[in-house]
Amino acid sequence: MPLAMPVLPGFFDGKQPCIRMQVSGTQGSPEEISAVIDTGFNGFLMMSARQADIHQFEAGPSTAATLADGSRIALQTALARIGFAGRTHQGVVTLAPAHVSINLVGIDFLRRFNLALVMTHEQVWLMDEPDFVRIALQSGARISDTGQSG
Amino acid sequence: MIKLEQQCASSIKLHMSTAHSSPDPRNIALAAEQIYAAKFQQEFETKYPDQFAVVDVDSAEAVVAPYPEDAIEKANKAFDHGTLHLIRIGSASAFTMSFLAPRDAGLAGIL
Repeated sequence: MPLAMPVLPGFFDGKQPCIRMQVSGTQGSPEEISAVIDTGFNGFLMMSARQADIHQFEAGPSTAATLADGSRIALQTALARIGFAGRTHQGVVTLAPAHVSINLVGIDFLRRFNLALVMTHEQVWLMDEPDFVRIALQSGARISDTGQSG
Repeated sequence: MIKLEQQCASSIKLHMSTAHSSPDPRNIALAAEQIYAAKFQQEFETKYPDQFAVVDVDSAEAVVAPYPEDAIEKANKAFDHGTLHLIRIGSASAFTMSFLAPRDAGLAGIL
């Protein structure tokens, strides 16, 4: 059975795995951006507030985030339309503190786009989750109801 | 006896005014977390673990949905021009990030 969606390559920027996507708000044309894949980030996407202003993202609620050392910080969110692999979804974008310009994509991106992430120390790919699950099952892996593989 | 909700609302108004209220996410977060702890936390953690709540500071009400984008959509319909805060039920924060260090975050937003 052919894959429903081709395997999409990400890329490494130095030591950081990244992907490219299109972002759009209420104004302007979609823009391609790159974002670092942060598997320790359980959100959808983090972008700078400046990017949100440029694209006129729809304002969202405030929220709180826990950082690497356990400290908590209040952040603003916004709603943006994100395009990837020919699909578009609206998602909750966490706006980074003022002087942080990096974009991060988190685990919730995988849920929203129904993707699986495959990564080595120098290669990264994204593929349709059902395709990945089928391949995993064919190789003998067991997928529990909670999604944890055995 | 002053009802808990009235106490909470008074405390929040005092906090917002003394904090030079503005659409500062830190002010909103602190106010919303007070409301959430007083009014919704116990019930929501029992009934809706790992779902998302959006608290409206203005009305001291909240909505719940399994995913953050759904909770926000629900809140936008329920609270016209509300002052909203997103919470992950059962967690200290809605999101965790391994990439940012406190030095990146700056001091102003620390809760």
